[in-house]
Amino acid sequence: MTQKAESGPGRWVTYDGNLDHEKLKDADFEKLETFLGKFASETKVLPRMKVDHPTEPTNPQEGLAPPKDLPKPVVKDFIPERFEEIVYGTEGLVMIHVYRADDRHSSFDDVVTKFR
Amino acid sequence: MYKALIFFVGVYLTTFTNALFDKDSNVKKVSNTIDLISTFLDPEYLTVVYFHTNDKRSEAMGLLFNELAKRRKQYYKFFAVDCDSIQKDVNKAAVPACHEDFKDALPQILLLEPQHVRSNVHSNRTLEPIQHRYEGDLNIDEFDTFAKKLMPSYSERLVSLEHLEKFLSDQPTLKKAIFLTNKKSIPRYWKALSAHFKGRLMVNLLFIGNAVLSVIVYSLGRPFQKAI
Repeated sequence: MTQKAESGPGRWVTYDGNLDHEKLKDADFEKLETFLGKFASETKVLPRMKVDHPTEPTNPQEGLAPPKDLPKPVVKDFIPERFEEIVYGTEGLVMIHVYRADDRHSSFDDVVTKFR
Repeated sequence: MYKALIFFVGVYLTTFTNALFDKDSNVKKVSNTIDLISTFLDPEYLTVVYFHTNDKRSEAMGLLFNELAKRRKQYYKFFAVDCDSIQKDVNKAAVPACHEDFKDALPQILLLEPQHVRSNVHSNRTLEPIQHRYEGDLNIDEFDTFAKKLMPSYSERLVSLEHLEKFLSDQPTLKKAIFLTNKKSIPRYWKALSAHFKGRLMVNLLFIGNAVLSVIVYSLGRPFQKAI
């Protein structure tokens, strides 16, 4: 089933079964799977984790803070008749607060007060 | 009389669906949310889930789904979720596809991408799997066309000798399998094998314009040029 080619200290083994995916049958798949299975490790070896060692201490909050040159949020009143114009005509993230009567979420009110 | 008839039809259909996905089937039956959650945790494969009830439509489609699973067992993981059983489960809210509001949409097929593909960049926590609803016919070719592009591949394309050398010297305890091909796309079976051997064998692909299709396995991390 296989041709073994020893070349120097490294060892290559070639599979010579059918590999044409248009003609591949279940038996061909199983044959290739069995062939590769002979070389597979019994247990999974996890790849090494990449650990970055920054040369300068960094502020853990730095990555979470928005860049300084972002445009400030704009607060617009919701007018059902102009919904598409307001929402789809706006670039960037759109935050909509849906509420009943005057029962608004306090955090949303804080945002509105801050940026209006 | 009618009640008895309905009862027997119900028993027949339940028995039929249970028999359909029996232990010889390539479809794993899921009837409670605990099983379902572990189903979604399959980290390597594209998961194909058949949500059904115990009616005639589900029965007919179940036969085709079973056949599909039989023919494509190497490539995808197949599950069948019995929504009637899920409805009796206290944690039924965990399965939106079985919600009463969507009962008319059953049976339906969802394809779930492996969870590890997506994670939150800040917390590294794994996000919910991306779901794709399959609305085509249950014939092999049509399903393959839809599913092939969603199949995860853990096989990297080696683009230079440096890349190849790095691959061969990486993780010396693992052997390396290289697929030599003259085609630019990765065959579906190679993607499936890369999932099957993930972490146990390093599987990659090398495109050479005039290559003859072959698979070679390398057992020691020696430079490629010296080994030829």
